[in-house]
Amino acid sequence: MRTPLRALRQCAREAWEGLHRNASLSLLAAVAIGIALYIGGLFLLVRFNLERFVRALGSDLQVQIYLADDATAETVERLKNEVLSDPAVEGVATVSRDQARQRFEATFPALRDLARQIGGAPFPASIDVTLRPAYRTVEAIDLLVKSYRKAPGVADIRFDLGWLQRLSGIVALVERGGFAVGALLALAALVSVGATVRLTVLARREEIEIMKLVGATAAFIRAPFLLAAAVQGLLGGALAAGALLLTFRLVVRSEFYRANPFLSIVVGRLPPAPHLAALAAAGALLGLVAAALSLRRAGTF
Amino acid sequence: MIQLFHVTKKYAAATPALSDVSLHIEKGEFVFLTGPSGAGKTTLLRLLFRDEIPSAGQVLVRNENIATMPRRRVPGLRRQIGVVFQDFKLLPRKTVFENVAYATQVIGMPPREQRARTYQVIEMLGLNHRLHNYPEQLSGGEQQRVAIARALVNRPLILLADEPTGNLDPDLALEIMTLFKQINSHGTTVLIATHDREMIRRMQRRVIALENGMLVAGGDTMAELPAGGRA
Ligand SMILES: Nc1ncnc2c1ncn2[C@@H]1O[C@H](COP(=O)(O)OP(=O)(O)OP(=O)(O)O)[C@@H](O)[C@H]1O
Ligand SMILES: [Mg+2]
Repeated sequence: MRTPLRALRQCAREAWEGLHRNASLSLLAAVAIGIALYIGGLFLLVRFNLERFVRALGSDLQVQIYLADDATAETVERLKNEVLSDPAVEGVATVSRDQARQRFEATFPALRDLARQIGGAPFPASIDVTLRPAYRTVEAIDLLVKSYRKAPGVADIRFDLGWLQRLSGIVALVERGGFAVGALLALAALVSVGATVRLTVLARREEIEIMKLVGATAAFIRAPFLLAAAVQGLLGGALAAGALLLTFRLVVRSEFYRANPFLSIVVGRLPPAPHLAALAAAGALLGLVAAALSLRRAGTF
Repeated sequence: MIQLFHVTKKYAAATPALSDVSLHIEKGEFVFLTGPSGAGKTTLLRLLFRDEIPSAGQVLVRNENIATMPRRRVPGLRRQIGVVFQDFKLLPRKTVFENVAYATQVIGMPPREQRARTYQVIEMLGLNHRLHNYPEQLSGGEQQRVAIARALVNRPLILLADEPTGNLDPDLALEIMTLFKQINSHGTTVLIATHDREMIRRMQRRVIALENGMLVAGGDTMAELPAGGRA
């Protein structure tokens, strides 16, 4: 029990020595990781919010049958039962006018005023239809729309397939852009961590040589480097998470944000804490990978 | 303990550093390795702790072929072998105490034992007053003794010493040899590379002689003691 603890302490001491010896370069590498993760994090933030928006709008492939204002409760009930018996339909839910407005306001508090400005009752009552998975296609929806468009009590039928597809396309684009930019920056971070490791290895070449000659294992020699790199990465990840938090705060408080309620679709909410922690963890992982790769290349063994 | 079968070691140069060397050293033997500068003594020692691998032939240490030994077993081999390097190989940023203790740290010895053993060998080599000095503050002879202390601190099964008395005055050299003899009497196999004919003559032990990479005497365990005229 005491042996691993002691080994860890010694490893930590050597890691610290390594970081300390190349302090400015170590810091630079941490910052490089931080920048990569920050940019990646920005994309993540936008994607997170867009996706939330898409989900709120579409709740996947929902078809909404808007009810005519003059439809009686009886007509609505009959319509509901009819729809429910359709083989394509999984379930239905009736949404009153008030419920529709509340739902919108809850998902987009920043757009609340917008709804008021439009005035009147922009959110009609509806029957929300969820389709069975096998029928979630443009053709099936088409058929459904055709059969109920003229039914009594129906004002209009909407389905957000087009919206959904377009928005999903945007999300995917943001995602891909994020990956590309993130990967590029991660590569730069990898290189800078690798450079730190190689320099430290070079500075300690003699020492490493002697360690090997007196019977140190590869793990014993490499562990301090890996630990140091992980610490650098963690630091970078924490920097990125902090910067992201700061950016978010600044944006949300800015005049521009208040003047443009639609911005809330893109940056309305901060991803939950675990996502930010994952960012820091990703930093540590990045550091570890960089160190492992360059230890191999630096020929410590 | 140590067996070489037709071992040849070539570096870049055309003439090999060792050519077709076969020899056998039993457990517990005390053997000198001698020969003129460039004869291949250091090369031979380096083969034994797998700092080099032979170009041809086989090197067996404790019946294990060092050439085919997997990498992860190398540290284990080296922990059984104490080496006094010709160029000492001390860590410049560590004190005498730290340099010696380092070897015990690397193998994960408990700290209390680390300290006890380190003090013990440092005392044995008369370096008490140098405990907290750095290598550059030491004389050549003192550095050499630190290197010897480090080689001994883990109580190795095999001790390889490359010119361990080269920087010592005759009295101190004799003292160190006596120490090696003492360690040998506890069962450690000792192999010492040296030019010091006077020392070899005095010690009356088996001598392996190399010349231009070739074995010229002492390959077998029962080889002759150095004849007065030759040594
Ligand atoms: N790493 C190396 N690369 C190339 N050639 C080497 C290397 N090490 C040794 N040699 C050559 O191999 C030959 C034997 O060298 P070695 O160091 O084994 O001799 P030695 O007997 O220990 O000499 P000395 O008594 O001077 O220490 C020499 O010709 C030397 O130049
Ligand atoms: Mg030599």
